[in-house]
Amino acid sequence: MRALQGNRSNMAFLQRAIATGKKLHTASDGPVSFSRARRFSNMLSQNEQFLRNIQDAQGWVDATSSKLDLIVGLLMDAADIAKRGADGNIDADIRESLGNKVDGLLDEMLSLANDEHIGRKVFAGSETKSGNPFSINGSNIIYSGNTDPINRKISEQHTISININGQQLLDTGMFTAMINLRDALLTDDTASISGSIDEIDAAKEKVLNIATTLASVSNNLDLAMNRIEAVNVNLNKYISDEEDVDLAEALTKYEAEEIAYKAALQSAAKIMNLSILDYMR
Amino acid sequence: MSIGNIFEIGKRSLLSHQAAINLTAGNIANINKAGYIRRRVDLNALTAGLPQLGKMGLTLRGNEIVRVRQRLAENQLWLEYQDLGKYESSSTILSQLEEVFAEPTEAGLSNVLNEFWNAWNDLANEPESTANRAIVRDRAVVLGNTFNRIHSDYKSSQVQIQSEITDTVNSINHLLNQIGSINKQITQSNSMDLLDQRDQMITELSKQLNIKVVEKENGEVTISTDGLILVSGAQVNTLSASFSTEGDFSQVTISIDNINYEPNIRSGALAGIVEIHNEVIPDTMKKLDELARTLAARVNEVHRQGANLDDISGINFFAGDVTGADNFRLNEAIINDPGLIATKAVGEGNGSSSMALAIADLRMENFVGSLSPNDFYTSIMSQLGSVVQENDFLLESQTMIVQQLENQKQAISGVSLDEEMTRMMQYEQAYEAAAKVIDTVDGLVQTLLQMT
Repeated sequence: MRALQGNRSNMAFLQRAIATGKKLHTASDGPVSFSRARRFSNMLSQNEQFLRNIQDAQGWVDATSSKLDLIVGLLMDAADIAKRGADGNIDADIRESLGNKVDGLLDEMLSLANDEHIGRKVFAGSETKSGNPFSINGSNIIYSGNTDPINRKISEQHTISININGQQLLDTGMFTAMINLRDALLTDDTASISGSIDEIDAAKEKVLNIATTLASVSNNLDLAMNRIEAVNVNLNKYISDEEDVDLAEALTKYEAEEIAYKAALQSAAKIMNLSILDYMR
Repeated sequence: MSIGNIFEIGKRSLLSHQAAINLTAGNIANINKAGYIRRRVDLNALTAGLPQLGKMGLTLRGNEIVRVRQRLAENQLWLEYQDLGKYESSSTILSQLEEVFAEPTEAGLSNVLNEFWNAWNDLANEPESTANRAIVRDRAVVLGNTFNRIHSDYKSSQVQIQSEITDTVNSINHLLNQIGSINKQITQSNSMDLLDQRDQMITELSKQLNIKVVEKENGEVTISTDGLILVSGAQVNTLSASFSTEGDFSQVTISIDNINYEPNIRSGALAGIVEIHNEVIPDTMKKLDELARTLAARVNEVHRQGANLDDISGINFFAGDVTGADNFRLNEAIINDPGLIATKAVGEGNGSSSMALAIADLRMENFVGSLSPNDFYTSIMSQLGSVVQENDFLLESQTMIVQQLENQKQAISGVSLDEEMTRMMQYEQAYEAAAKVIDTVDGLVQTLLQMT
């Protein structure tokens, strides 16, 4: 009878394991396995959060990069205009229209610098919601953002900053170069126009440098993502090893238990049938 | 040698074998009664007291009826039942306590805590957002509710166990009283059925608490626990349980009336539930309280240094008076206005998430007794799991030990239908033979009488 009961409880356990696919339901099923599986789960949850952080960071970095690309384009256009303006054979009227063109480029550069990514100013440091960080007053460019970094945590040990703040843009001298070129064209100041060409080129170089650092940030993010994803694959495997049941093994065991159970039932029935009363007259 | 003697022999044989058949019938009738010990007739005394076959005069000696006991197995059983009782009573309750934590499901504290940290991280990704702040608040509310629920479930488990303890003590006292009254009866009439009953009661008692049984020659039994007398002759010292509160949870003490002493109840069903009541439940909850308290304090510490989008700082995130899992909750102000949640340091722009990141980092900081909060919680769970697993294992092996001893006892004391039927046949034949003897003697007498 007791053996039958033990048999039945084994079968019940295997049935449950097969139905749920898990051999670890509570900590008491295996405390050591349980705590290991828990730790892996916690790490997995953390890693998945890091992946989300990385994704968010990628979005920001990509947005910044594309704006910088456009700015570089604007600077190259300005350089062309400068060269034309420096040509001694054109007159003041043409220079004036060229100057207006540069004004238009400047406006566009300004709007790029004041642009947003999902509702937040990209080049304002941490003043992401306080209105346009850049404004022009006559020939002065005013930056009202700050130089704080925007940080994202991409792994347990790494926090990286993903933004370019407005001060860095200012430092490239791109605005001043544009403003000087415009003013020089409008005032027909040929000497300054030639000087602007160098100014603009220098600014373009500096902007390209910034774009390069951003590209390596993007690279870091990719690497981090790949690494975490690889770790997650392993973590999932470890958790499965601890918690999940091997279906083939469980089914085989179940079959064996069932056969033993049937045999026990049959022999129990046989024994109960034997009695001396059958043999007495 | 007289004819009368032969008559006597025949008569004794008839009566004795009749009694034997009676006894056998009694054995067969009681074959399924729990705790019944097989009776056997000792027919050796049949011809004692008769000349030629004995030295004494004619005395009618009663036949010996023997209760066939296996003393060793019985005493062992009384010992082993104590541990079995303890593991059995603990097993169900411990599983129940483990299930309160609901691990490893989504509702478990492990997952809820992870979601809480994740919410802070998401807020760090977009610190200007009010929606993300609302999410942080909501996840924190769920965290608080989970802590509260576990604590209150444990408290009500304790109350449940309290009534179980009272019931067990009552049934123990009932058994003690009955044994005491049987002790009194046995000195007056040596009934085998009474002895069977008493032994059955002692078996029941041994499942409830640790006892020592001493049997006296007159059939009385003395029962003691931890060296203190519970039953001696007709004198019975009952137990009583008294409850007191220690901090958040109650403690129970078992004492013996009349002596006013607290015995060391270390085995039996009573020991199992008392241990869970006095130790397992409060200890587990103390650890949970520690987690809740340090978590609230540390998060508050960091949060106060941060500022929200309006540069308001110095606000607690959790309530400032959290002492444990039962009063773990958010600061009322934050529940009403999640905009107060700090994400940056004072003076930084609203896009900075330095504070939010700092709080999210607490996930990995070892500030709860040298472990991170998640790891500390996992250790609580696996410790409880070990206790449950160990108890289950001991229960299984103890059940087997008891089963083996029962088998031994049954081999000697149990009634086997085959054996009894065979004896029945033997006694029947002997009865027939005895009747024949009387018939023969009758024939002798007849012959004698016809001689005159």
